[in-house]
Amino acid sequence: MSEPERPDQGQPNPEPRPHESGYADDEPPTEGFFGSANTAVTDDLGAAEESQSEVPEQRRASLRADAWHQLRRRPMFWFAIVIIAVFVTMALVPWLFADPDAVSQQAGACQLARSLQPPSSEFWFGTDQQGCDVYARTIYGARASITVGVLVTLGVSVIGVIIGTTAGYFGGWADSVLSRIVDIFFALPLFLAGLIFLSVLQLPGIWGVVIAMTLFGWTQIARIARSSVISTKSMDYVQAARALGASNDRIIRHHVLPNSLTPVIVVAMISLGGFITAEATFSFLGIGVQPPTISWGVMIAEAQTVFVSAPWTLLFPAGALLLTVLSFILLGDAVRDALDPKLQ
Amino acid sequence: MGRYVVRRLLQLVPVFFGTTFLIYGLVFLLPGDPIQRLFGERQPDPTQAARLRDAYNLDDSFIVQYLKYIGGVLTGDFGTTYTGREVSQILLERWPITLQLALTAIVIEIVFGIGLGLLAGIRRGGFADRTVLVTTLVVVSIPVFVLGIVVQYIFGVKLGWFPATGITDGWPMSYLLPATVIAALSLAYVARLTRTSLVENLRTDYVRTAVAKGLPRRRVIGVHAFRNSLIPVVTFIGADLGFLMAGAVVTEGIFNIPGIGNALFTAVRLGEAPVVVGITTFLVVMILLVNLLVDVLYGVLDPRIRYE
Repeated sequence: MSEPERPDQGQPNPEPRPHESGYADDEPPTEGFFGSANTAVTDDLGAAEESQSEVPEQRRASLRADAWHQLRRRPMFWFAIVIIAVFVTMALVPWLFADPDAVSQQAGACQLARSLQPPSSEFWFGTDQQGCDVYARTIYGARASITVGVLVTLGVSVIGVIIGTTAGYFGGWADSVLSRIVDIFFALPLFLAGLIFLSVLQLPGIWGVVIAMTLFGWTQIARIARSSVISTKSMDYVQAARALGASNDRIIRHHVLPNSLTPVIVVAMISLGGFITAEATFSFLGIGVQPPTISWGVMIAEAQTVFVSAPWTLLFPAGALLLTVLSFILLGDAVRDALDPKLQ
Repeated sequence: MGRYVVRRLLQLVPVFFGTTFLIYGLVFLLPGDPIQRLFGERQPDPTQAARLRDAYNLDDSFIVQYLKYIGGVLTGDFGTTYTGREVSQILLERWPITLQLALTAIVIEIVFGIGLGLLAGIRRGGFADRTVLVTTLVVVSIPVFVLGIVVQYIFGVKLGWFPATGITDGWPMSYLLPATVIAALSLAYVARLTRTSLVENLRTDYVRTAVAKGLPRRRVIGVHAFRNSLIPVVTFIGADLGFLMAGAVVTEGIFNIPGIGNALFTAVRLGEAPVVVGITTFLVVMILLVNLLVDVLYGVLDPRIRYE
């Protein structure tokens, strides 16, 4: 990694580095700096790190149980969970919320005769320029956004963890080579790299966006996984496993990975919202998700010209986008705060 | 100090070659005819195709192609548009506007970001703190293009406080609105970062010592806590330029500011891939150089970096 350390592009960083311990310290001010729950977390950290299969069930669960205990009391966590649940349901089974005929071209969903009608009892969110039902399209647009967000997050997590763990665990020349590669990809801003990729390779549906963002979005996770693995590697229990003759493969899978994944999971959760925003931005520019796939980004792009006379065409998809992104950020923040005793 | 600068410069070399190679490889190394790809769904005109073949040296081997392209980039040749204009010409014409816009955005980001962060951090848990936390969170969740469209409508069209499009009113009136939109996301992060950093610093031993020896509150916060809180903020602002550029592309497009971002926005919408590649290469090189500058400045600010 090149020094000086930079915080990774606009994302809260869960690592307890001296000066940059996350940008979103939402801890309720009513809690003292050294509340009882915090000491419990610190004490249990040792236990959790030893959490191999031999450790009794009760001790193994302690960090997670404690984090859960913390999370349960935070209204923001529940707010985020409920919103996410609603949108995920919308993505999985949109017909529960709106009739599929309302967005299908064959069924004559869009009629120019009723173009740009304001919200009414028939069209809750009004109609757009083509005379399509904005409510139904907002519901059916959830699928593209959520799928892209989830797929990209999974993709970058897998690539990032593999590269970061290899670099961090083996060190030496593997680390040097991989870290230079990470530096190179990191220097290409996700947005600019995506612009080139998507304007050169025009793939249908959501796949172009998913591939572009996965290909260029993994560096942050790789850096975090690497430093997390490096600190886990020097733990006594890893030394012990090595002394007992465990293979590298076994040490990584059973000892290092389970104990170094927490910061990765937290960052992945927070960046999910960012990927959804990026998808919408690419779709807005006309190079992301292409019609006829319904996407909030495409809806907002179409609404841009008629926004002045028909604000509902923009406000509803934009509102849905905002709520989704906000909930993932809130969830990530809450989980980070609960899991990271150093931030409290 | 000198050695630090040299080392950073040396580190830049592989990154420069790596990023340009990636950009170039994306267009010319993937399977399929690159010329066809540059034209997207349109049918390439034979003369244009021949000219592009020649311009990108496609009859040479890939390594030679890449080296010629690098040679072009180093001598300021970023390719040509379909109509034969040089991309470097466009860049030369437009960079003053984008620079003005970017600098305005950075000033807004620094002044308001740090200001709000201070306001929130000094009284942690107070009304100002909560307001700043909630507002910044919402701003972080709004995509730049939505913010751009809405802000343009409210302040440009409805209230008419600022011109809604173009730069005919000159600096600052025409630049303030788009610069605020570009800065908004980073501003929110800067505010949150400043707040967190200040809150942490206010708990340190040296701040307690300063309070204990009876220094006025203004001096404790201003000198002892605040200055130290700025270190991560400065790093963040430097590292954030890529984000700022991304915002500039969309925002210049929405506000019709004739800068580099707008050229890229138009090229993307028209599917002019050679222009997209040229401008992006230029932007990536600029971001690399500015990051280098920030790192060096950071070395000046924080003595611990120099001796590593």
